[in-house]
Amino acid sequence: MTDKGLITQVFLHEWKSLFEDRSALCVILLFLALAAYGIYNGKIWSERINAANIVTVAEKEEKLRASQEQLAKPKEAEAKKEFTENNDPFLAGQSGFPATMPPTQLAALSVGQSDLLPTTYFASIMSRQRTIGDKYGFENPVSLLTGRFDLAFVIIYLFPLLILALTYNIISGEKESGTLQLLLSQPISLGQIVFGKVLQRASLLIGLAILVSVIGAIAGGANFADSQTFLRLGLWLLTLIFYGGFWFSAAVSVNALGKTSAGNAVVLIGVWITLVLVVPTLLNITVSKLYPTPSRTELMTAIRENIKDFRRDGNNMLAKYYEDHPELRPAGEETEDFGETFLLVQMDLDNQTAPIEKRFETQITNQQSLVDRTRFVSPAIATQTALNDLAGNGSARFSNFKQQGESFAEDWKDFFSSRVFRKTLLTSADYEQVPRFRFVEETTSELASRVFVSLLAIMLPGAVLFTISVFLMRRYPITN
Amino acid sequence: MITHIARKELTAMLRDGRLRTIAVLLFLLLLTSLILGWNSYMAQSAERAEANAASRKQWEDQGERNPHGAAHFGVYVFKPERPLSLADKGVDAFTGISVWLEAHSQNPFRYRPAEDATALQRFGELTAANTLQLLVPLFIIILCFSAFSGEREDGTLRQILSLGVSPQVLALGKALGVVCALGVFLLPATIIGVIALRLAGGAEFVAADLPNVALMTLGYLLYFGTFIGFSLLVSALSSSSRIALVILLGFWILNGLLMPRLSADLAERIYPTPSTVDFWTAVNKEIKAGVDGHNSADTRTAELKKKVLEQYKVSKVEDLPVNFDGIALQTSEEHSNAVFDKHYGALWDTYARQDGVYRLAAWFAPYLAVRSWSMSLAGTDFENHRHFAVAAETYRREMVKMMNDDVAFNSRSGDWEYTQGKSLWQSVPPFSYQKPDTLTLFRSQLTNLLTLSVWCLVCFAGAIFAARKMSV
Repeated sequence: MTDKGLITQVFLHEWKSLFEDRSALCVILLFLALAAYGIYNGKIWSERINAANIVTVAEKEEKLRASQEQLAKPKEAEAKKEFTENNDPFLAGQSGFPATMPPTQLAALSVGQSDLLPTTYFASIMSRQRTIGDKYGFENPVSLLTGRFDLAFVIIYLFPLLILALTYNIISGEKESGTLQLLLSQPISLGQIVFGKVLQRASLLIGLAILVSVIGAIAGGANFADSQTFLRLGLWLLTLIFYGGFWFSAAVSVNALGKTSAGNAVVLIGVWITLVLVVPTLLNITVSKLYPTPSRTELMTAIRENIKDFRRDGNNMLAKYYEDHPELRPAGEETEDFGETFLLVQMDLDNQTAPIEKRFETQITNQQSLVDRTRFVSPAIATQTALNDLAGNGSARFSNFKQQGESFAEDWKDFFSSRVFRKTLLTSADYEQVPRFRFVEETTSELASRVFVSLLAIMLPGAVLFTISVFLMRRYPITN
Repeated sequence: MITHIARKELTAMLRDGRLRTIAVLLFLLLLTSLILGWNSYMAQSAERAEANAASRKQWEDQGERNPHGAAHFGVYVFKPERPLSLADKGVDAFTGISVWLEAHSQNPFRYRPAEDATALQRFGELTAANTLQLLVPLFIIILCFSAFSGEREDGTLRQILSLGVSPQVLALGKALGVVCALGVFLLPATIIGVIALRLAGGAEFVAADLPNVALMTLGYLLYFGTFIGFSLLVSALSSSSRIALVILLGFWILNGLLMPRLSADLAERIYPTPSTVDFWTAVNKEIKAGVDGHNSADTRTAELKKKVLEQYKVSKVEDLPVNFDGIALQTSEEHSNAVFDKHYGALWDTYARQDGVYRLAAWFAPYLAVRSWSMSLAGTDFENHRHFAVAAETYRREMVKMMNDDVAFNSRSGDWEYTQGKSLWQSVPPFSYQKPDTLTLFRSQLTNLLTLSVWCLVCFAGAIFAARKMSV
């Protein structure tokens, strides 16, 4: 028999024994059930936040449209000289407009940071400190602490356990049941036997993971006409293959050490705990110690000092009062420099806080880049990064969205504040030009190159383990 | 006899190099997390105390202005850190650390530490609590899974029992052996923890936090007892060590990995959390629908005006001996307070109801009970956060009322030139916060304690029963 024939025989035999192993089938079915639940859950989540965002935008669009319609009426045009809710650039600018981050085609597969970070950025002529409160989600902190049950969770945490459950005794089991010696008396090497066995399990388990991901993408409503869908899904599947490959290599190399099945199980569960539960927390604490974010206290103090100075300098009590109650400025009343002063304060406030906010961002960027550089220490970290990136709920996309949201807010402020300073009223034509937000997705090559690094970080340790196990298997103690 | 068995078990465990390595690693992990926890506690608590003082100073030094303007200026309060947070950070990363107390608005808390961290945060934090809740049980499983099945496989079980040792005694002896093995590294870790707490908590620690530490320890002992009992039970009933290990690992995964996430989703499905948009839309709508102190055209304000005019028996606002605007402001404040009470109350009650789902789920996963128990006593669960939020809000209302009343009764209507100075600002007492006492926390967590006790008892009784029934 040729080598290939032998491997095929091992491969086929393994399939046969799998179907007779009821506990293995149960574990696989359980995995499929959990994956299905994860998909369902992720889909509900992504639809929920997306629906809320759509409603928020639609409400504001409706408001703008209504204002424009009012101004288009000739009667209103006659009374042009009067401030109304519709033509006052101050009031319209203050009412604001939300920038929202649309979901990607794979959003349902990984919740990522979308339950923690805002997918809405509210632009208004008010200062950032005034609008910051609107962004906060009301998720139960315990849910945030626990994390979501989505497909990414099933893949990062449970998929390795499934692989380990079916491979922890891949050599030791044969040895303990006495079949290893029998097998090796045939013209086949240990490596070939292991290869055949791993191939069978890998084709089954990685195949299942691929299957559930594809089903998840379809069930999650991915539009395959979108050019990025195939790229995202393709990279997602590649991540699965590499991550699964890593755990197979880990199982084989631990087996190649020649310990008992129970011993292997203990070591492998230890490896899993270390890489999935412990290393990420250690890295987290390390990056936050190396790049600590500045004290939030400082930010608060800066805001306060600034407000205080302005108020002390101001001398018009009425203006002060209206500054506290901008929404109450009576339409048509001549409070000449109120709007301007108010805007100046808001701008000044943002200018004051900007450098402090900048330092926060810099530190978080530093933290992130350190995580990016060290993600190879745990394939779980690299996989989390990759899956979140591909589902569009990763840190990079959120920080991209934040920047775009801020720049949109600047456009919005410029549009309305310039008219406030010029003391011109809004016309129906002006409303045509009111800035709108459109999220610009990062380019395909940017996304691919980022995910590529993650893939490399998963593949490298897997390859190292694979080499080690090949080496170890050559000197495997067949007898005790 | 029990001690003999326990001593033998302990010796065997201590001589096993792999077990020793795991124990040393766990100890180091605990030590590291305690040191880091202590370090961040010291930094945070100093920073927040400083921030509270700075905010108070800004309040006092805000200069001459209209008192209602001062109420708008308001104060920032920062949530104090609890010493026990060095062992269990609970949900602290996901609740804000500070809130701006200003007129008209009950603001949400700001600056959630998790937002200032990378996505790694979502893997969990390195805390002593996490090690105790997830890793120590696994260590117990590794110590126990072959307790009976291994003896059976080696043929020693028959020998021991032939010596006249009763199976119950064997089970208790083995359990005691595991307890001692755990004690070898958990006891020093606990002592180090208590020293760290004493250093962090200062002189008040003994009275303020020691009872919490004791109760927390009790919870963990019951939790570990559960795992010891359960592992021995499974080991006695399983036909092989391998099967015992598989079942125990399955339970561990269900307990610490699957059930928490499943119950989090289930809780939100049964008691949905309102969306931010819905929440604020409802709040704003209801506030507008009520008396708007700033809009004198409002019919409700007209009604209030009529009432006040009648009360002072005058016909014009200008003739009032008081400032009508101040009264109107306070009336509208009270209206919005009711609206905030309703909506925040509903939101927080939703969380509490969701917590009820966790409590039920804890009957299937003791992890949920011990997690909740531990973070409640550490002062880092949501109920503790709510307690602080309510205290801050109460203070805000008192402060705003003092300011509005000053406008109402010390100035005349329409007099927006009216100002006050430092003496009024200083007359507002500084914000002081009394954390909930141990008894309150204990009471709120009784269900979880009951769950843990039942788990522990049932597992131990089960282990003894299984030992008696096991096949030799």
